[in-house]
Amino acid sequence: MSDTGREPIADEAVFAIIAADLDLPRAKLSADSRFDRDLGLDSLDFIQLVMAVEQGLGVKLDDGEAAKTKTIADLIALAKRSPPDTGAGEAQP
Amino acid sequence: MLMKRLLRGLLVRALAMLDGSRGASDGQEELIVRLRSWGVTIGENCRIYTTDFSTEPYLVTLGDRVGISGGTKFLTHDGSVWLLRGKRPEVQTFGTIRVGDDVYIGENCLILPGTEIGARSIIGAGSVVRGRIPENSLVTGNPAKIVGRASLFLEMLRENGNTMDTLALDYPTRRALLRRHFGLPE
Repeated sequence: MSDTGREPIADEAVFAIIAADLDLPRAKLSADSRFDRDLGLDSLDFIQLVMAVEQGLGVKLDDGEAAKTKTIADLIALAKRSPPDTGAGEAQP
Repeated sequence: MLMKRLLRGLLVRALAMLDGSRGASDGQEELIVRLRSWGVTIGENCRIYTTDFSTEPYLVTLGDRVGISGGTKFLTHDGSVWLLRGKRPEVQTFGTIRVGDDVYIGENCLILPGTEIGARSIIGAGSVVRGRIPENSLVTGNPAKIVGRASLFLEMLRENGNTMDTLALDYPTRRALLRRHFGLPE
């Protein structure tokens, strides 16, 4: 267990969720991939990706910190330090 | 008829002066007074740029700090019931619309009868919305779907390089600043 109270998150688990959500081969993704320039995501794409990561990993990402992430590595790091999602009345896609 | 309209206009202005929501200079006070006189329930500090509140405006309830863009339409009845009038000539079907506090509805949305939009939600331009939208939802499309949390979208707007504090600038200053910002010639 990590200090966030849940099982540790493997980088590959996040890559798999991102690849599935964006319908891209895993090989096209790297830790340095930027969401806007490299992956071509707009704001709505990115929000959907964040929701997919949250649902896939069972975590709740902080909105302010998620909005600052630029790369997959940033998102992985944020997911690893985020608490489990209690799902208390929040919007789910 | 003309006299009636003039008198109504004067009454609307007079009511606007008594409304207590002073400060705006773009006809918001007058519009909100007019919409309330039609029966729309409107909370405090709303900004509304549509008058399309259907034939039953008294079935629409807006919370506090609700922003509604131009072209958006509220529909409080279902016209397809007309097909039943062969056997029930007087039949009609209605639905209420409730919008929570701190909601923004973008341009040219259609809000269908029976819709309930939870507080702190954002409805993207052109959405066709029905059913219950939970609080803090970002909603887009036709039929509208929940994309994610409105609060995340707002944080992203905060981080967006094209988000600027320009509201108080006069038109020429803002124009020059924006053309420069986007690399357009002076």
